Amino acid sequence: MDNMPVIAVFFQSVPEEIVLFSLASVFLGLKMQWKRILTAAVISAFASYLVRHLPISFGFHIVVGVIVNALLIYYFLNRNLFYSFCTSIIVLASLIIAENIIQNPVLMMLGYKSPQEIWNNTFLRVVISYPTIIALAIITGLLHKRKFSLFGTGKNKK
Amino acid sequence: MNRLLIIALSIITFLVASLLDILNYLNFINVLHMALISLLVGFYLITIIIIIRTLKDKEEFRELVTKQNEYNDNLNNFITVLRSERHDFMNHFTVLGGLLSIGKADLAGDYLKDVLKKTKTNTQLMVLKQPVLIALLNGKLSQTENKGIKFNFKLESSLEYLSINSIDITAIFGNLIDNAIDAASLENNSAFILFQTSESPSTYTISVSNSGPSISEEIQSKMFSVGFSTKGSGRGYGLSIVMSAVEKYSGILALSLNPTTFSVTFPKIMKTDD
Repeated sequence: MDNMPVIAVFFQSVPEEIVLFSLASVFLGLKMQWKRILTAAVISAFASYLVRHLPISFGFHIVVGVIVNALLIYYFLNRNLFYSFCTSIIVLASLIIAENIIQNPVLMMLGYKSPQEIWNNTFLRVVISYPTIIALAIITGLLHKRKFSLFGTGKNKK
Repeated sequence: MNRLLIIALSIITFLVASLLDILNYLNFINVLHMALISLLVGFYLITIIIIIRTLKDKEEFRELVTKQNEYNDNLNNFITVLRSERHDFMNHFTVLGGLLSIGKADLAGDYLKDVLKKTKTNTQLMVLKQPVLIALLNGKLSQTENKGIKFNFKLESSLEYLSINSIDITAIFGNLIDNAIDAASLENNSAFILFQTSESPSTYTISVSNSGPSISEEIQSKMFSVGFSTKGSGRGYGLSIVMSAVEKYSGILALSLNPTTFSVTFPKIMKTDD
């Protein structure tokens, strides 16, 4: 069980979720609706905080995360449920992959052997997530600028 | 089929990502190897995204081809109608000439009125300077006649300088009129569709109204989303395609109620010889 501190929710999960919901908006071919994205991100961050405190085996929280995010995308971004689920899966997979590509080498450079070793160090835990968040934010910004969409109508439409 | 493929690809991606996360948690592989594996999975994810985008493009393309075929049929029907009318006009002139030569001017007048009444709609559409739109409207006219819906026109603008390609004209107005037909069909009595064109010094506005039931606020908030439809699964591309095509020409799509009216406003682009 990951006893994620509340401070990490505000400084790690919320920014992470903001980027994820922005990426979801890009994939769905939507304009950035910041109020909706922010609301969905805060709800999702706290949902994730609660799930991590539940006595469930690791891995199950990803399933819950996909379902919660899909429902939030559906509700806040006004999309079709099918596309909400597909977007939620792809966005979450992007985060996991980006975390593993960026975070792991940084951890190794700092002399740690696994991510769990820094779970008790709140400051490091939060700081180490930022390269991934920034990388995903840059990718989101570029895709948005190029008007790429996965489930929108046409490649150049918003 | 495409939907099945999309969900299958998404689920496989999800399983691969979850496996990666669990392996990372269990510290099964050292972090550097994990990063390399993740890089490969990242390429895999990009491939999946490209495949899904291609499948979506194919789906949209199929929809457009259907509309384009419909437009071609409309155009062919329209040409046939014009040909037959032209052919008939020779006979009508013969009859009129005969009636006038034997001094039956009243009868000739009545006959002329009947002929004009029969051709009224087509000549009304001729006000428009958009042949594709004329053909589309003509095709939809026969559809509405078959369904007992009255198709009215109020053409205050010829849309002379409306620069939209034929595929987009079909996509925008074909979908709007199809939706209007579906909505008006729900009305048993006095079902109608009104197609209006108007212009200001800088814009063209084209509206499609129908006598169908009003649209609830919940549906209004979702109706431009891809895949959202009140008509069952496999539908729901119409309005999102309309929206995309309208935005492509810097236009605005607006909805007003009582009666339900979709209005499209485009900036007027004057063609110059330069």
